[in-house]
Amino acid sequence: MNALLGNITKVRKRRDRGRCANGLGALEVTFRPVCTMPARLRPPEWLKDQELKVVRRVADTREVGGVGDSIVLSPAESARWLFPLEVTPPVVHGHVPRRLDVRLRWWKESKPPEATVRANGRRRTVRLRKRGEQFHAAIATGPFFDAAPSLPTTIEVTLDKLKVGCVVLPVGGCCREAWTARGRRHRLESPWYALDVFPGSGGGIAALREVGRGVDHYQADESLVQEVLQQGGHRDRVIVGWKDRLRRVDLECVGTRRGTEGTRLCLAGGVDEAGGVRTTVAYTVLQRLPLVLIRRDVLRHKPRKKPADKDERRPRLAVDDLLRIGLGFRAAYRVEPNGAAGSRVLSVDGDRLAVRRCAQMHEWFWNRWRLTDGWALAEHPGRRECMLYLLDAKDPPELAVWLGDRVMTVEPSWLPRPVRADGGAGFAAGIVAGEICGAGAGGAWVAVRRPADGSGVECALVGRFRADPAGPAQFRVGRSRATAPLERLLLPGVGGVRAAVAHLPKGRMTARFHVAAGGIGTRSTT
Amino acid sequence: MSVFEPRTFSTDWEVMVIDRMDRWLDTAKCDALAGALRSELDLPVHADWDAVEFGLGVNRSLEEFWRRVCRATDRAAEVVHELDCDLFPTGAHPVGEQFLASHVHVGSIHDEAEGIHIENQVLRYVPAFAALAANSPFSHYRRGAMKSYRVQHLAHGCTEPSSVREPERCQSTWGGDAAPKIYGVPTMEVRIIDGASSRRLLAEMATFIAAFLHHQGDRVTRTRPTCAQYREAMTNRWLAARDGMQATFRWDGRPRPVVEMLDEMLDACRDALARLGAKRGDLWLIGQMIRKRICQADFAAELGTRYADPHLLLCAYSKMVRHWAVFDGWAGKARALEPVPPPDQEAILAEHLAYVGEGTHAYRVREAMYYPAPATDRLIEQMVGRGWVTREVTASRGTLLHRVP
Repeated sequence: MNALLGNITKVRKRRDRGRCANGLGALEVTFRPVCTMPARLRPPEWLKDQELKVVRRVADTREVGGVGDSIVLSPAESARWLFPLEVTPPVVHGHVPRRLDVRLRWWKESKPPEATVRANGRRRTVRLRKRGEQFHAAIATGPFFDAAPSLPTTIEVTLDKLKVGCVVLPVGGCCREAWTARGRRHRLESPWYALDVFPGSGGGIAALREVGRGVDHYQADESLVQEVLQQGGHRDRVIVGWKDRLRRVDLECVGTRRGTEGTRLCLAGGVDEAGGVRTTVAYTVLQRLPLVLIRRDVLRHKPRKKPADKDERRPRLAVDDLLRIGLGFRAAYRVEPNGAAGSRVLSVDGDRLAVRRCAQMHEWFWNRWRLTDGWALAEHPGRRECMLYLLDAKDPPELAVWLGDRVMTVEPSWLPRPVRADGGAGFAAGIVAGEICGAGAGGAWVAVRRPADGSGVECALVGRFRADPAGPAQFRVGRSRATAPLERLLLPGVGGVRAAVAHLPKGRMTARFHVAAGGIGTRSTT
Repeated sequence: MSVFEPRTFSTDWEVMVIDRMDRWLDTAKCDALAGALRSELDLPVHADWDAVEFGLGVNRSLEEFWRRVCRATDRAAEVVHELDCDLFPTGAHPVGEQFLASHVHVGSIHDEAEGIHIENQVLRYVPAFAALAANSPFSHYRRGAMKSYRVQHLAHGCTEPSSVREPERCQSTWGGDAAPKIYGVPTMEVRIIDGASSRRLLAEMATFIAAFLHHQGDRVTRTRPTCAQYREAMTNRWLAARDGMQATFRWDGRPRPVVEMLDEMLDACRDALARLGAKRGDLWLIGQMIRKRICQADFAAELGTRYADPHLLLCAYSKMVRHWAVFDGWAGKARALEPVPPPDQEAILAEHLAYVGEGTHAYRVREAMYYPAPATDRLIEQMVGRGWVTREVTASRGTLLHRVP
């Protein structure tokens, strides 16, 4: 939710600015926040009973209306009230920054209370000073640490009900709660990827950045009023009956674990209390390979409370307690322009490579497209981004593709099934996000590169092939070449995949990148 | 002798209701409001898909219709104000999927066969009504390409391009752009009309459409459009949706600005207008729109230039159109717009090509202009022949088209 809707309490013409050159007049609109948009949820606690002001340029004063009318603010106008406290930098790697900048973009009184800074079990208060319309403070971090702390660690800043922090992460991977410009997220990192997992919407991925290029594959157009993950992001669906019950569910973090193979984040929460449905989701980022694993489980227990519609006078059969549960997910990306080329989705349809690219807004591709080979590839050739979804070929979902306003979605769904009390459902998926890809009827792969720890670049490829690929994967970065064997990995719930990693000591991040594997070359980027 | 006897007309005007959180009231709540209004006003006010549908009874004159529409909407506005809501008269919701119409019913007709002849007869004129009524330049996050997304997207099947019918070899239909509806009220229903924001314009349009159909009913010719004329009518329907009153239609192979056509239609039905108690001068708002080539969508689109986000646009747009005369005032001050040149064959081909992505079912190409299948197939052949598109014929998924980069 990135915008405010308010109730107008006063409208005043701005005499100081008068009429603008383009014929528009300026109105100062005073309003009370009513809800956040577009979900129309209660506004944050710190905005309770506040009167806020915004200036609108209008050709006709009736555009704004009058006292009692609604006013919707843009995301840019709303940001200072929805996310007033910021700390810079919010995330750092390897070492604690010497200084943090704290900025309070708005406060309800002329003088804000002192901010409290906590780190390493120590606590200090800081007074923010007014600079223009905002309040600032610079915090030296030295007094909080006598020696370099063990990482990860967080320097928390609280001010009244507001809380932000600077998260200091070790280089190379871990998981920690972080505060981004759009609120609280769980930051999950590997040497290849940085994921921001949003605890709302049943635990979705709000950002998936390649460490090497810094590209966020789920970057949304921030200028639009939108729900989190709507214009960019990954969220799962748990359809109970006919309704997606996961969309409004906040999950709690129930643990993180870092092992030698990767780092895992687990979230859990109730989906349908009346039906006794709970869900858990585990995100794992692998240490050695560019691969994100998702494991979604939906578990049904006997409900503690009797559902309201149960009538004791009527006998019940076992079938009366069945629930229809369907699963799926929705991945949204900024769409590249329509026309002769642009964002598209590839997979196998029968024995052929099938390519789907919607041309008109609100167009769907659906029509029982079963992902029988267990993969689907989303490709944005203009910006060199691609994402491979690896799924269980033995229980393949059906794929839908949709084009919206500046957004394209990839929406696999598993057919609904009857779930009894003590039963459950679930799916697993692997995600490989990268720079280049290859696809054919025989399989698909995505390749990524990142600066190597010493010199050059490290390149990796993950893919799925219908038949055992002959020969190694061939990597080329500029004039630098390398081959690497395609190892077979068996991912629980996903099935077999192939992966290769190569170090090119003379490779550069800016040089052209080509890969061939399993007889499938790099797709053109046009 | 006219097939319309007595000469009557009415409308089903669908109007949404918006609350102070910019939410629309659902069908159940609209039905409750409609019930209250129906019992108070003694008019057939109903609810239809998240809207109050103002049926305005049987009217015999512009004056009678105008009195009724003012009384009904003034009272409705009071009722919804008591609930901290506002009426939101428009052709489509900028955020939601709803399309809204002002269907015009023209009566009284009891002979369906004669009605089918009139349906064939007016098929070529109906796009002109769509241009005049165009009022859905925003719909479900769409904007900028059409002045009536509702007409272009067939109002989700609620206003379909008519087919040429022959009374002895056809069934009754529902949802056509203009067709007899003898099974309900004994009228010809013109469904292509976008929901109006101006009640004055609605009154003038309903009277004009009724007079034009009455005029056609005085001279039923039993002729049917030729294949070329039918294709032209479909092209004109698309032009009306895209360009509104700036459209230049094609008529028997020649360009014809829609405003000239409307002007001639108004002149042609002068006597029928008089039978409804109206002169051309009484239709002053339509007169202004013809002179300036403007429609309600132009007013809304101008507002839209300052509100890039659909939610912000909705907030401002709904505040404006709750003032019944806001468009009327704007039309008085608006500058005249230039006519848009008619499309040539290449432009028509390009419009169809724009519906082809990769793996697009060939049938989707028909959605560009709703040409009959053979005409669309010929266009597809041209695209394939020029190397713009490849065709993949599959047993399980039909014919798929792929745009060649």
